[in-house]
Formats: sequence, C-alpha cells, structure tokens
Amino acid sequence: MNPLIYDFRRTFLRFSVLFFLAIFILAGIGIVYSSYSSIAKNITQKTNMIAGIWEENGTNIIGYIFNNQGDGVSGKVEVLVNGSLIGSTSTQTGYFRLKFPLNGSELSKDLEKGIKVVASTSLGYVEVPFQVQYIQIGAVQPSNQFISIVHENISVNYFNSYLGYFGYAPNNEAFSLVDGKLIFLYLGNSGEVNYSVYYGYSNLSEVSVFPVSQTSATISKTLMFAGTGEGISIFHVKMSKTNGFFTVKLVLPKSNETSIISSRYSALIPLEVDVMSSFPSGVSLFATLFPIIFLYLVYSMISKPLGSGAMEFLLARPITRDSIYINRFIAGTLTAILSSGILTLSIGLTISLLYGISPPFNFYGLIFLGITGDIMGFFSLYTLLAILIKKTSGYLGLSIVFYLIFTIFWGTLALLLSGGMFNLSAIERNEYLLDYFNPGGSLSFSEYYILRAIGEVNSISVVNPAFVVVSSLLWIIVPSIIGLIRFRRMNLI
Amino acid sequence: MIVIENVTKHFGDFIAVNDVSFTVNNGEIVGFVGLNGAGKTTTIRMIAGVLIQDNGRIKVDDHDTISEKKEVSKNLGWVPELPIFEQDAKAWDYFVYLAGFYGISSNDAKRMARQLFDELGLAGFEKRKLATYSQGMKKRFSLAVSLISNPGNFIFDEVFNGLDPQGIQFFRDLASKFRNEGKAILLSSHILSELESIADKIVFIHKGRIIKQMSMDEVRRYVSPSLKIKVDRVSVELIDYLSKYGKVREEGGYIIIDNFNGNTADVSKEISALNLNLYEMSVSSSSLEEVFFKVIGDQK
Repeated sequence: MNPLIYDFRRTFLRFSVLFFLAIFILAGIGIVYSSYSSIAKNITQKTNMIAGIWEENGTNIIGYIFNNQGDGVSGKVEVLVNGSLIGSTSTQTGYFRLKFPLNGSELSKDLEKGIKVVASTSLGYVEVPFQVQYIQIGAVQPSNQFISIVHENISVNYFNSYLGYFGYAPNNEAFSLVDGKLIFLYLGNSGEVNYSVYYGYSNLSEVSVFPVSQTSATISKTLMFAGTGEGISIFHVKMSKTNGFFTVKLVLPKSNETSIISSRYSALIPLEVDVMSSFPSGVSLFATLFPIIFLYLVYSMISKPLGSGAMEFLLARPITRDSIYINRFIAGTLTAILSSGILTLSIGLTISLLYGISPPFNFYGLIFLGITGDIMGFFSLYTLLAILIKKTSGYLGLSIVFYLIFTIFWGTLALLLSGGMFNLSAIERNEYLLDYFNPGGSLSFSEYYILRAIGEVNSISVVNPAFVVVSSLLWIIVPSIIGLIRFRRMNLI
Repeated sequence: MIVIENVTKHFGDFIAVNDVSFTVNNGEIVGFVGLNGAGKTTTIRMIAGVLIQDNGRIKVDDHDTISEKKEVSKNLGWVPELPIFEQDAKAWDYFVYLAGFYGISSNDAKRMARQLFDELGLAGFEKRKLATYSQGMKKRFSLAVSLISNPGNFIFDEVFNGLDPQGIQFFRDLASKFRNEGKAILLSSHILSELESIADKIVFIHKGRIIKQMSMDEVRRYVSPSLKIKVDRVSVELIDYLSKYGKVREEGGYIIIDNFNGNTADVSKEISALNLNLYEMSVSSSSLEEVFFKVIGDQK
C-alpha cells in the first residue's frame, strides 16, 4: 500500500475526525436552520402594493397588490383619511380602483393630513400612505387633473422591491422591480396610449441621465385604469448580477416627452443578503473548533511518534526523513481540504434546500478557501511546534496556548491597539490588520469578501486581496518549511 | 557487511560516541559489549540510519547511511531493544503500511505478512493493536518487518532482554542461521554468556570509545583458565606440590589453580601419587564478563 494513502486514511478516517466533522456539520446546519426560522417569520408578510392617486371628477386611486413573485393576490382594499374610512373595494386579481367624491381642494387638504390605502390579503396586511409635505398644494391648478401621486409599498421585507424616485414631489410614475418583473405605474396625460418603457443598469451614484446601455422592456400585461394609456403594466426585465442603479425611462410618443426615474439596485435581494450571511455563520463553529482536532491529529501523527520513539522505527524503513514529514503533512492537508469541502458543501446545500436560493459559486469558493486556509494555518503551526518541542506534553501545552491566543485574545489585542471599545472603525481596521498575523486569518477575510459582496460591510482599506493571499500562504508554507528543515537534522532520542 | 569508520556523535556537550570504528563482516556475528550508557544503542541507531552522526562514515553493503539511506534500510534489519510502534496501529495494517515503504503492493504485503506471522509465532495476533503486544511479540514483529526485504545485514540490540528462555533460544538460533546464510550480524547484549556461545568477534565499547576488538579465540586466550579440584584431604604438601601449575588458593573446600598452565592428566596422576582421593576436577575458562571487566580495568 502506498504509505501516503495509509497516512491519509489514518488521518481522515480517524474516529475523532469523522465524529467531530459530523458534529460540526450538524451544528452548521442547525445554525443555518436557526437563521432560516428567524427569517421565515419575517417573510410571512408577502403582501406588497403599488398605488397612485389623482383627482379627476373626484378622487381616483388605482393600485396593485402582489406577492413576492409579482403575481397579483386577492384581498380587500380600504382608503382612510385621517383614520376614517372613506371608501373600500375588493379585488381578485390584485388590481384595484377606487373613486370617491373629493374635489381638488379637499384632496389637497387631505393629502396634507394623509391618505392611507390599506390592503388586507391572506398573505398579510400592507398599507401605502400618501402624504404630501412642503408642497404648494394651493398652487396646483384646479384643473381636471391637477395632482397625481404615485407610491409603492415600502413595507416589503426580504423582497426585491425598488422604489422609483418619489421624494416630496408628486410624481406621475413609479415602479417596483420584483423577480424579473417591472411593475410600472403611470398616471399621465390621457391620450398617451402607446408609451414605451426602457430600462438599464448603471453603476453611477445618482442617475439623472439614462444609462448608455438600455433595453426595451417587454410588456407582459397591462391593465388600464385611468385614462386611455394610463395604469399599471408589468414588463419583463432581465435582472442584473451587479449592484448599482436601476433606471426606467418612459417615452411618450404623442407629446415626445421622456421621463426618467431610478432607484438603487442591489444584485441580491434582502432575503438573499440574510441567506448568504448565514453561510459564514454556518461554518463558523467548524472553523473555530476544528483546529483543535488538528492539534490532536498533529499530536497523534507527529508529536507522539517523536516523543515515544515510534518515529525511529518508521525511519528505519527505506524512507527519508523528508518523505515521512511530507507524507504526513500531505495527509493532514488532504484531511483539511476534504473536511472543509464536505462542510462547505453541506452548509451550502442546506441553504439551497431550506431557502430555495443557492449561494453563488464564488461564495462556495470563498468559504472553502477561508476555512481550509484557517485549518491549514493552524495545522502548519502545530506541526512546527511538534517538531520543535519533542516532548508531547510540551507540544500540547504550547499548542493550546497558541490556539487560545489566536482565537480568543486576538480580538482583545485589536481592542487594546484601538485604545478602547468606542472607536469602532479603528477596532475593525486593527482586527483585519491583526488577521494578517493570525494563522486563522483567511477565514476572517473570506467572510469579509462575502459580506462585501452582499453589501453588509463597507470597504476597509487595510484589506488587500494580494496581502490576504500572501499572508494566508505564508502561514501555511513558512512553519511547515521550518519544520521540515528542523526535522531533517534533529536527533530523535 | 557493516563498516563503521571514525564515527562521533555529540548530544550537546556530551560525547556519546567518540571516533568509533569496527566492521561486521558477512557470515559473522559480532557481539557488541558495553556498560549502560557506553554508546552501544547510539552507535546502532546511527547504523540504522535513524540518528545522524556528527563525524565519520557508516556503510552497509557499501551504501552510506546518510546519502543512501533508502538503500541502507533495504539492506539492514533492525530489532531494537524496546521496539516502539505507533500504538494505535493494528499489527496487520502496520505491517502492510511499512511494506509500502519497500515498494511492496498491498496484496503481496498481505501474503508476506501471513507467512512471516506464521513463521514468527504471531499468527492469531494479526488484528490486535501493537500496543497490546508483549515485549517478545514486539521483537518478533520488528523482526517480521525487518525480513520484508530479506536484508543481508542485521542488528539485534539487546534482543535477549526481557525474553523467556524459549525466546532467547529463538533469537540465538536465528542469529546462527543468518550467519550460516552469510549475513552480517551485530548483536549487542548485556547477557554476555549468550554472546560467548554464538559470537565470532567481540567489540568492547566503553564511555563512547571502542576499547578492544577480539575474536572469540582471543577472548578465550585473554585470561588463562583455572583448574578446580576437590580431594579428600587438603595438605600443605599438596598445595606446594601444585604451585608449579599456577597460583594455588583454597576456596570453599576446593583447591583452585588460577592461570593453570599444566594438563589435567598430570595433576590427576600426582594426586594419586600422594595417596589422595580425587573427587572432582574441572577446568573453567574465564567468562566474557570477567574478560570485559578486565578489559575495562586495563583501560583505567
């Protein structure tokens, strides 16, 4: 049998390794499930609404109640002014229209006070408040159509709903972007029958100009409520994979006018942010505690044979010291890779199964590299300690001390260097700086890059990808090479 | 053949082995004799390639133990005084693992293990962990592993230590067998009587230095024999009479003639001529142990 295979088998197929790997996988699944349970409570509210209000022979309100996929849901809609019910209707398709006899000046007054549209569906309750402040209502011409305000539901959690620009001014159009659907509400001039909608993505901080790259939105469904061309339409759009701004351009052919509205766009919907955040959480227990298993593995594979004299018997075989050392180091490395891989896949698949959202491939890669680097860094350090300290009790004692320093006291050191616990940015900066000098630092950096990708943390200047790679590799390579050089010439008795 | 040339080994300031040179020829059993801490085991470990000398050179079948370590290990079997294995390993698995270092496939190694475990009395214990093996079983397992490559050279380090008479006989017969097969055997033991009966040459090591190398004939000649006789009546006349054969002394009812330089037939005749009854007469050579202490004494 190839001794390397035997060494690997004795390392990976060890009861302690398999047992604790199983324990950590179960614990990781538990952590993900716990996050899922917490998120699930929040995502039960799936009723969303987009609505518009204008005055035309009384007060008109149209709206659309929809679920997280942008599909209409049935329910009851009520309009409250100052808390008093002034109109209600029910809908089967999600679209609704209400009309009640308020003229322009009355509407203006009520808008100042606040008009609220409330929808109740089997999925939950949602309300859209219309409230105009700092606006010269009185200046609005008492014409047939002197004011129109559109608004979307803003109570959607864990859901990809993007607000069109609303601010404090009345607006004629708004949109929600949901699961590849652009739900577009337009309250324009009657007579603009065949308006066109274009959309585009931009990484500009604020979009006042339509992005160069624009796509014509394909209309899926239009429901006319208002004038001839007005109402709510659903367009198919292609979701972008990158963060930035989503911009919609409305083109009115008759008046040759265009209107642009945009909203900040995140490639990940909020639900996904929470889901992806649970990926690093799911592996954290393994990454923190599995180095202890490797402390034991190094004890068993290197320290104990050295201390007991068993290494001598092995060395009397036709093998060089280099080969013994490298064989055992490779066996440990393969164990680290395999354990990390199994854990990463288990947690990733658990997330996919529970949420129905698969973590991106690069997240798998980051998590896998992070925990493998973390375990390998400690493994390499332990190996060096086992070679330097032939006495097994000395090895165990010092390894435990180093483990505690790097896993527990490293954070305290960052606090001390930052002059206390109030300068959060300095603490964060120093924590990442110190991670370069921690064998388990790669995990911290992989978490950082995942959280950056989902927009959960801001860019931190001291985190440099080249330094991250170099420091992680150095933690693996340098101790193992020093250990090898020392092992070549050491006296085994 | 094992050739040790001017080998020195320090542990810090302590010189464990100092300029040691000797040779173990093929078809020869060399007894390696010294007090505890004399440097025997350190020398043996360096021959086995598990310890690296500071100076000097060791060759096994013309292969250098440092630069040609793999070849040396293939050509050398080593049964340590206290074989230590990785304790959690099972004998069978560990044998197959170690056979892998000799380039032997798993199937061949299993076949070989079955045969060697049978021959060496380990059959039935293959699946047990090595930690549960007795000292004798561990030595037999070491031997089994050493036999994987059928090497031409063997080192038995205090191999008789801790063994029952049957075990001692087993290894003594084995050493003789290997010698007859033309192998070079280095046998260290503090049970010097065991060496006397099988060694061809004795290498004495003391405080890290080789103080003497002698063939067994030289050992036997090194200290003259004693004649021990018992008669019915010891007289001054008899003692005076026997003085011409050596240094006569009386001890426990026996007359002992140290450095005996006559022959027993003459002594027998002369006792009869004195009208004395001879009850017992024996010639005793000096034991290796006595030789050893004499050699050490000569060094002082």
